[in-house]
Amino acid sequence: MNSTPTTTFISTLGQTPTIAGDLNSNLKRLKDNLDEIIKVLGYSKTIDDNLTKLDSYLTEANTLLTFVSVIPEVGEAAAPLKEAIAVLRPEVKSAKEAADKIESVVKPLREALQKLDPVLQKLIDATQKIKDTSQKFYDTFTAVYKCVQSLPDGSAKDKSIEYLNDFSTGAEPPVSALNATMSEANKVISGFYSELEKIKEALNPLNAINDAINDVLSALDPVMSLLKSLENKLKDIKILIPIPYPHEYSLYEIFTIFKGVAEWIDKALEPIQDLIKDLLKALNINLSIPGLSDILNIHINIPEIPDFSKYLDEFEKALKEITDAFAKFSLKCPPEDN
Amino acid sequence: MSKPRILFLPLSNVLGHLTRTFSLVEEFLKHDADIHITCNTYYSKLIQALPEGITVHKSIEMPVSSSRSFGAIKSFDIGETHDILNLESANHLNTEDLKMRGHYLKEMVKNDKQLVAHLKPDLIITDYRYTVTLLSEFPKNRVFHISNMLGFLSFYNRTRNTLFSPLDTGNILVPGIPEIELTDKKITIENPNINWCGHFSWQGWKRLYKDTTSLKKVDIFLCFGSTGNGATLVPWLVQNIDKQYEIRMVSDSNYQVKSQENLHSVKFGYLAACLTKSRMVCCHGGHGTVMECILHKTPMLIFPNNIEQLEIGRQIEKLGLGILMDKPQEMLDATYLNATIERLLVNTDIQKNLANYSELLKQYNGANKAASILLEALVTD
Repeated sequence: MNSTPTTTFISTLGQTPTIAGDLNSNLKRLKDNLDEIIKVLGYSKTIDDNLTKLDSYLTEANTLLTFVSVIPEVGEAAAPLKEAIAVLRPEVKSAKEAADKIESVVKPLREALQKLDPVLQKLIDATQKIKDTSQKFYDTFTAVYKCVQSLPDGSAKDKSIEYLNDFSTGAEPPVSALNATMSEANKVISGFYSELEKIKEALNPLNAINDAINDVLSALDPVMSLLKSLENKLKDIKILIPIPYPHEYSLYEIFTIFKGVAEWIDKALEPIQDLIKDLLKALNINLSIPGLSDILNIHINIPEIPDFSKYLDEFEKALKEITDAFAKFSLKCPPEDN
Repeated sequence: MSKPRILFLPLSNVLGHLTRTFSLVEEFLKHDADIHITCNTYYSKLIQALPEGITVHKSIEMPVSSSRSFGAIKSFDIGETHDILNLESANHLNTEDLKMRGHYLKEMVKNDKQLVAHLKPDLIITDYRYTVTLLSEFPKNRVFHISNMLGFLSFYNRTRNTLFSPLDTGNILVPGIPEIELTDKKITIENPNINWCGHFSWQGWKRLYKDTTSLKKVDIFLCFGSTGNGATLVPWLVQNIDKQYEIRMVSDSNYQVKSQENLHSVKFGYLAACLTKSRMVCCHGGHGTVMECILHKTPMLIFPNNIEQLEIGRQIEKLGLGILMDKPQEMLDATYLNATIERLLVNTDIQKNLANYSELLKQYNGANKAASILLEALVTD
């Protein structure tokens, strides 16, 4: 079949609802999954915060353990935990540095995505309207076209074909341009979504690591509480030591300076005996964080965020143009009798 | 039945603690007891004056400076804030000093532990040597502590509202009387094991220094014990006390004093004789000196050198037995000093009060009573 302006227009217009539909679906997919994507992008912040907290906990725990280790039996029991902390601290420090870097690039994307919902909704509405409008006019136009084709040869048919060709020549460019813009947008948005999926996939393991960090923090909490209590008691409880007259000294000073005098150590232990028992029980904790070093291997590329507002402007403008163009179509078939 | 064995553990390089322990030791010579005492060599001359029948064991003590530096007065003012300031100052020692004392304490405990294990005494009497409280195997009810209630103990009680171990629950033999030591209602001492005995006066001085007849009467006796600040005060007093007053000082102390017409010297140890031949005494306010002054009715001008002496000085002033110099030495001047001396010498109330308290004190024979308490403890358990 020879192509005419009308058949070309019909072909172009016929693509518009499909392209608009595809774009609409893509936009909906992005919008529907936006919260989940933002949530996963938030893992980098959560893990960064938790690693900061863990790093600080480990530093404090190490200081406290060193302080309370002045009590010989505590020092002995605390040694494995101190060793575990010594192993974990550099790992946490490296992981934290990596998490810092990840968060520094993820944060702007996450914050931008958090603002995206309204414009996405407008784009979904606009593409839906383009789809509906173009489909409706396509149905009308093709019905008229088929009707004209079936007319008996003659001037009425010739005039109608001429009208259709003239109209199509005028309407073809904005519809074609709209299709191109939507196709381009669709490609960009698909690509963007695909990149987001990759980031999501890369960040997903952080959740399990984060759970492991939380487990360590939870395990450390009661130990820290006991360590702080013991630290306070070592500093605050004072007993009198005859050297030769009575001098008030904190339990800590007694353990430090009078460690050779077993009897004074026994005396100093009396007020903290129960606390020491509780601490000795609590010290037996697991500080391993499976997969922590995996953070070091996370490499993510942050995609350029499409200019959704620009697309919205273009679509709305194009929609108006085609709506105006379609409104001008006035050919009736079969022709009305004069 | 074998003789009861009694072990005395005094703080043997502080004169007051040593001599009052000696007085109790000698009291036990009247009874059939196996008497042991631990001393270091600092006051060996005094140890030589002990009668026969007492076994002396060599002990380890911290350096003399450890006891003399105790409890420097940060504030002479009255009130809780000042008490806390003074107590905290008493507690403060630099790390090196503390480590040194810790080392000594360890050795002292080790030494005393061995001695106690070897002697197996029936009773132990301490005088501010608390190593025994760390010997868990020795029954606490067999340990008696010589301690005044007035002084650091009353100061600590007022500041911390408690007594310190072992004096909070242990048996205490007080070489004093409640009428002098316990008039402050703020002091709440709950230990039921306090035995008021009376002054422990050591008679050994008389064996050491027999000739006291040549002593002439003077106005002011300068008497600063081992924990007093005589080294700086005596030269200052000699220089600033009005020349109309005849002064006596102890000659064998290392005071840097130039001779002058109104200044007389006496050998160390003639305390009782010097007090009876002086119109007043300038002293540091140590327990032993103060009790002797009361006994011999000598008005006191007290220049405290530590918080215990400040506490004692306040009580002496409160009881009307003397005047407390409630300023540090650097804030004193000759005018104030001589005006205070004049005020003390003309005060007839002080003379009357001293006479009354002297009579009261004489009713007690401290060492004798303490010995009775200890002998009773031997038969009770």
